[in-house]
Amino acid sequence: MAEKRFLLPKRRLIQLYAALLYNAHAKGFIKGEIYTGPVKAVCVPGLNCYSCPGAVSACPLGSLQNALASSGKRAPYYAIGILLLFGIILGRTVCGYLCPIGLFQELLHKIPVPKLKKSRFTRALSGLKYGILIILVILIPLWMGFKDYPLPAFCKYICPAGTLQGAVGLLAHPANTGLYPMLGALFASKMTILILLALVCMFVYRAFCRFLCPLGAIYGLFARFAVIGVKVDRSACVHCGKCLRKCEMDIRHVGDHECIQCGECIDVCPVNAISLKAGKITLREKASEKKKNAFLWPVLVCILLILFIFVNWPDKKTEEPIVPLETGYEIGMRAPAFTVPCYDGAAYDSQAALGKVQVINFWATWCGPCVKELPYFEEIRQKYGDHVSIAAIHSSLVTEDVAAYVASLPYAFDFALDETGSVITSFGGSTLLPHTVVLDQNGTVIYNQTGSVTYEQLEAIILPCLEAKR
Amino acid sequence: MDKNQTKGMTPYPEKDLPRGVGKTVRRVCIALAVLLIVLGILNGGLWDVLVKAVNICTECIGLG
Repeated sequence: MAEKRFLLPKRRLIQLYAALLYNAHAKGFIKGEIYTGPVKAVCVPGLNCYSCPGAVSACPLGSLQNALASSGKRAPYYAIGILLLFGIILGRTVCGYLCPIGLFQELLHKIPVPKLKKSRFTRALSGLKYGILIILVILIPLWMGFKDYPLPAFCKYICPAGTLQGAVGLLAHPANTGLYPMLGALFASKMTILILLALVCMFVYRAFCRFLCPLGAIYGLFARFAVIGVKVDRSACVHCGKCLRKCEMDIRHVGDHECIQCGECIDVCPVNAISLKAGKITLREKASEKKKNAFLWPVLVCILLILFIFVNWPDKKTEEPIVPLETGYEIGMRAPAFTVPCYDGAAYDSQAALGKVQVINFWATWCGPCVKELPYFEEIRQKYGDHVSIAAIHSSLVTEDVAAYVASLPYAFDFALDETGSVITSFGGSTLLPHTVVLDQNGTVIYNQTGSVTYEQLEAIILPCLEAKR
Repeated sequence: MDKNQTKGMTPYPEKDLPRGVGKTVRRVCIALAVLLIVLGILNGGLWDVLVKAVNICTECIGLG
């Protein structure tokens, strides 16, 4: 039976295409904001931070960690199913062809500096990513999730995609300079990791993929079974070892769990024993005279164009309510009045709370830093009692029974729901949580910041108001 | 690796999988994956992914 072929374009072109496809939200780079459309429910196979302004989809690793962190409320079927599907069909072909971070490392490695070759040491070090997978991706999110504190540990402490695509991508835009005061030790440590990795990658081929990437560790588990992968024709192989010498990954065999299926070994095999296959279909073989598929690029370009137009379509302009000039969310302005329903059946009315210092905190159960700071508001309530009115207003995006969650908390301040998201918007907030606003007794904004607050910070903000009124 | 290190090494595992095992594993995994994805959509897992993805992940970008 004649062998079927569906020859792929050059690997570098596919890598570039994937990077563009995952980050087609060009408008995000122009405006300094992330895409919030429905396509983001779909996970892409490669590592691509969903906080990148260009990202149009979800990161599979971030989704897995968050799903595990929510295991107490909901079994993580979707995230596990997606990874299982990508793993069994693509395996580590994702690493070789479909990961923007892999591409980034390969481009860094092209810088002409001395290169560190693989050795027994690098092979041993390649086991580190399995430890990172087990501890930071699985155990810590699961453990903290059962304590009701969502913590995607790998994303938070290590992931260079988050730093490069999310942090640098967002913070480089002038519209986000307001986030600079929030930068602290965590940002410094993540940037240090990113810079170190970038430097190391110049000398060591794909250092992150080989030693640290838990997503590669997951996909590597499917190496022997994945539909797509590099295969050796045992009857043709002459055991010359050229493929093993050519490979810069820490493989023992062609196509094993360290192999990123890049196919560089295909071109050096003297007997054409190696090819990239999808089942019985050959996707890549040694420099072939066969014509590549003429229709493939037009189809791929059409898909990219359609996605690009869809995610960059101009937003509908909503009519903004006309408010008196002196009302607004900037410091010194009269805060816009609002009423929100509380989970205890009452309502929080900002006008009725005039005469007290109002602390309004925008939070969500799925936001780890938000949950972590709730006890500080209770401490403030206990200490300043009748002089302070506190409302914790949940985001319009609800992922669980917030009423039941709130009922389990030992806090006595008001918990309310921002049903349409209009309240946080009226205070200049966005999708970034937590967000805290403090109003003085006249309803004037004295503090309005995105980011976590401590008890000491809250006290320092409200004390001058309380003392001025004495 | 130099020629001496790779001389005689086989670029493939010595023991191949028993006939049919690979195909069976692939079919079971694909079926299981599809089932899990459907269950995940039904139990709200897809919604969780969307909610997390459309909000800036402060942990991811180093803001805590």
